[in-house]
Amino acid sequence: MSTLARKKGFWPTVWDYLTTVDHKKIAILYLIAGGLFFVIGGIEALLMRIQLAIPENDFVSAGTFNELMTMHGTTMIFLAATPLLFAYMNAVVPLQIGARDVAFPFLNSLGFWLFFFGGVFLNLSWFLGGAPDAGWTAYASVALNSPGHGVDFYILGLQISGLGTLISGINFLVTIINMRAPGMTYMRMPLFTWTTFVASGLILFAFPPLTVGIALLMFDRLFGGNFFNPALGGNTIIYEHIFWIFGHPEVYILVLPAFGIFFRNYSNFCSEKIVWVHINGVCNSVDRIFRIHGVGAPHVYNRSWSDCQCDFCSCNYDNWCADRN
Amino acid sequence: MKKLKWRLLLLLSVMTLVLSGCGEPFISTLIPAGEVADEQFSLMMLSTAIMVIVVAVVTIIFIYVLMKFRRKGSDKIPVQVEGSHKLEIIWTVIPILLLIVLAVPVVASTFNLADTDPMKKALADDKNGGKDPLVVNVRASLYWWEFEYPGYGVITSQDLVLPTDEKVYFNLKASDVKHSFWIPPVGGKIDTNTDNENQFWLKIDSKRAKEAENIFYGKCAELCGPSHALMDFKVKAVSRDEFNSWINKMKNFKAETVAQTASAKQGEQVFKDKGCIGCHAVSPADNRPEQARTAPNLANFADRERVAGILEHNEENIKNWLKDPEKYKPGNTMTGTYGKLTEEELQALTDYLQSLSVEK
Repeated sequence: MSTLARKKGFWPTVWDYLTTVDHKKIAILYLIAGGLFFVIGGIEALLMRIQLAIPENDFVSAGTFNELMTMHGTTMIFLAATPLLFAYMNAVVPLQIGARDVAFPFLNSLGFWLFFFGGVFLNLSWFLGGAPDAGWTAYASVALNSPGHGVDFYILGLQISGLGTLISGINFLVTIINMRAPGMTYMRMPLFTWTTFVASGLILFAFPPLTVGIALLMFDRLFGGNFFNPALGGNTIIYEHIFWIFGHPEVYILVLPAFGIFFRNYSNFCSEKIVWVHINGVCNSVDRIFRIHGVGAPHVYNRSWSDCQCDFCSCNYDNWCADRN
Repeated sequence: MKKLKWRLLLLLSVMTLVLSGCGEPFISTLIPAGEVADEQFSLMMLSTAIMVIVVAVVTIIFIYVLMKFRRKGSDKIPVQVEGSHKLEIIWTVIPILLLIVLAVPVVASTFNLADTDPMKKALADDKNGGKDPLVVNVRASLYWWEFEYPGYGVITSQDLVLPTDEKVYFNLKASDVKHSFWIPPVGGKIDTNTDNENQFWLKIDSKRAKEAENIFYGKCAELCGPSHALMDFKVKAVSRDEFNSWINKMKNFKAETVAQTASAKQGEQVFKDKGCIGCHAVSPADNRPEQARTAPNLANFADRERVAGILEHNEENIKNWLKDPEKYKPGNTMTGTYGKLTEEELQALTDYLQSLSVEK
């Protein structure tokens, strides 16, 4: 297919985008989908604000408010922020390392469509019996107690979406490790690529625990499991631990590419090669992979006082006030 | 134009001071009323101060560097500096120091606020059993709170009476889903779990309690369902003597003789006929096992600050609540358990409930 040949017409362009494996077009798809979900999440936020504007307001019922709150959080984190960052990563990283495309272009496309359909499925819950209402973290006891199928939509939608994110994360890892242009050593990589590399490593380690946690929740809700039922030997707090082993790296997954963007912008506009800040940023990023897995514990620190909890609290100075963030 | 800008700035800064004073002493975490809240507040202030200093220093340096080294129209690429050991050491050591400054008080506080050994000793002692220091067993349910004083054998709900100026220890658990016990000006949040019991202590300062008119608002701090935000409880902070006299009154409360008027006696009958007595105990000495205590203890219902935790305590609200509880607390477990009540039954029940008091 010649690079000069261009498809003309609206529908052929749509078909092109629907079937593309080109990283730049997939980046645009991520931008559009992420933007769409951002608007949906934003509307949910506005509805919540209207409810909270006046005391004793009855704009939405209490149950609906919980659904809005849950969907706003889930949409913003899983369906808006992560895809928007993937958009940047997809568009920029192959170009920055001098590769023609990512390592597995088909998987790239698959990752996008899985995320997109997972998000659509999750939002379909609004029309199919009620959205999830157990918070974006879906803690075990309240999630198991939630009537209706909202939380089941949450579980299945996030499984599908999470699979897409995991695929993309592995894709970037392989791309960055394998497909750098000749002469581009790790230390010569631009900082955005470095932070993408670290974020992808975090995705690889963080999303499987989420998958496991919500799969166990699915067994409890749908198939009569008792993983989180204390009356039959289960434990609800273990769900929180599993979730936050995912949850804390997740916020770093979201922030590291953003850090990469502004590291890069600084060096561009300062006309400095920013090498040593570069090394600083790199070491910082890599060290984070190890630290952040440990410091996620404070998200659970007000669960019970115990001496080992204190070590985690003191390690994570920037999170000491965390309260089920 | 410059004058207007200065005035605006001044107005905004004064407003921030004024607005930051917005907070009621009975509910604001920023107006601590006890030792635990004091420690938590001082840690908040310490970390905020550190963060403000860091932000200020970084912003000043940032703006200075931005101004000083801006491009002056020439196309010369600036000198590429490849590292500065001095700077790298400085900006590694300073955060470490800040970390230590923050970590030491935090760790010390964590151990201090978790020290519940006096409670274990008190509970192990048969004669004491939770009288001194006072021990309270908290049990959170959907959407109400149960408070048991094991040293006295008294169970109450919704209004927690606490003596001031002494440490009170708590055992906390939940009966259905996870909740969290929080009295913002006094301390918390400590989760109430279904799989284990948590322990902590609180202390209320009597002088500051007076400023809050001796009532503190308690809240549930962990999403538990549609009425999570409506799962309030109140804390009555009284002197130890007043507490002793209250708990004595509770111990000697005779539920059988409390209904005096004809309407109240009729209400008592309705209470039994409709099955209310099956879940709601009206005596503070409720010997049923925990699983059977599925509704708030109503022994001192008439003395409570609120109906159902959230409605102002008057006759009309009691009737409204009984008529349609789902309207006020969606998802509560009382809805649909007793069918429709006639106006007469409602009035009788209200009179009966208003007679359940230890203070009158």
